[in-house]
Amino acid sequence: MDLLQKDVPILTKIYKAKCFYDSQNNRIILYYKNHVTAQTLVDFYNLPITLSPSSFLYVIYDLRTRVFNVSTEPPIYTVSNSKVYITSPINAVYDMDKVIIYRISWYETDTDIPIFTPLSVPYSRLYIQSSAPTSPQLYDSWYNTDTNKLFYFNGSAWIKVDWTKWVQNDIWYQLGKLRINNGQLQVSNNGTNWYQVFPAIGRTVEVIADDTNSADNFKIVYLTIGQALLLRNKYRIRCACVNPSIWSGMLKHSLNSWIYGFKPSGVNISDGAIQILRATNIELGCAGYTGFSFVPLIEGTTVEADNWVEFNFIVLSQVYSSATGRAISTWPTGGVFTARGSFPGNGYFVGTMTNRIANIFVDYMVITRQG
Amino acid sequence: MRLYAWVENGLLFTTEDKNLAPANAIELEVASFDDVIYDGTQIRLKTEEEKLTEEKQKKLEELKRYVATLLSQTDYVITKLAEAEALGDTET
Repeated sequence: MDLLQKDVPILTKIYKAKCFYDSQNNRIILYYKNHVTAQTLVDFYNLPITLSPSSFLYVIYDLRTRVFNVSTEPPIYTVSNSKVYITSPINAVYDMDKVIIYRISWYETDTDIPIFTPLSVPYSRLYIQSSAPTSPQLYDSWYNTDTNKLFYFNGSAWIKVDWTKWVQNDIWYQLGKLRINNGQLQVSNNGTNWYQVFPAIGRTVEVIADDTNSADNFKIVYLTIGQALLLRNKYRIRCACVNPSIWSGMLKHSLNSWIYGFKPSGVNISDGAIQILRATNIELGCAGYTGFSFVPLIEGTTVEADNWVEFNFIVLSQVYSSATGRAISTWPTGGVFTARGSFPGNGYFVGTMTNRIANIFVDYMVITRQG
Repeated sequence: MRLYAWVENGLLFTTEDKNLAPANAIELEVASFDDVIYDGTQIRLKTEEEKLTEEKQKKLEELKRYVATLLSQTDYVITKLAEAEALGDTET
């Protein structure tokens, strides 16, 4: 069981009752035993909403009709002459031996799931906020910014996982570039500027954030080795990145664009440079360009709204990249590209997709931390 | 726009995000980050002449690329002509 439960029977009479919250199925289970007949009976109540951690539920169970009344508000009642007078959340009078009133409280357990790694889940959307997402999907991640705890949604409940274990296993942690400070995960490339980043579950993670809202800029996910970030119609590559690291990925976008790439950590650099070898079906061509404000990945097409590239890069003081993909074309043209550019000393995330003119919202992109 | 600029290992870096700027960054009010330059001794705004030279350079690059795309479609013929001449094949 991944949740601890405290069961506090408030009022039982002839029946000895035991009430549980079944987090796997999001329902109340009621066991009760009639001391006279020695019969044990079971009943269920499927909750219409998911129970939040650290919350209470109050159950009023009518033993004659076997009807549940479940509320998050404590019932108000008085007992007089073997009768129970309930005034809230319902108005009812019961014989004392015909009703069960029960409070269920439950809370996060400190028992974490054993041998759990974030790679166990194929895909997860990461919410970084102080309250639980209202319409979660299976295996969504939620980082509670109030408590610095990470949960994933198992289909019916938020399950806490201990992110500190796999973080401490990271080479960045061992190099002093990753730390846990006041319960927060922080990353720094230069040891001076520390930035909070957020762990997530999932082999592929999609950060729920608005790239057009600067208030969301802090939402940067920490990926352990093997985890990938998915972008859909976004330009901010929101994953923590420091020296050293190795990345690979592929993307497609629909903006006519000459040279494009990414600004490391969203910072304008001044030494972006690229070498190009491109080929149509009848000829080879080459070129080289310098002085970009970003790390180039590729020479894109300025003719068609079709750009795709498969890329790798290593961050080792500088960013060194190699890529293959679609190049400048009137005829079908492909190319191979090598490029480089500085990674700022205080940089802490991969960066923002851009060309010389504007941010590039990619249609679809997956970038994986390889090392 | 408000821009933060600093120099690291002799290279200029700029950002609009104050959180990304190190303590030694200077604050500038500019139209574009392209207007800022590090001349080897100081971070300053580009002169009108420098902007013009840069713009000319960009236009030249664009023109070169445009011409290259036009020529690339006839390159095949020219290459084949040269090959034919080298082989002594002068028949049409």
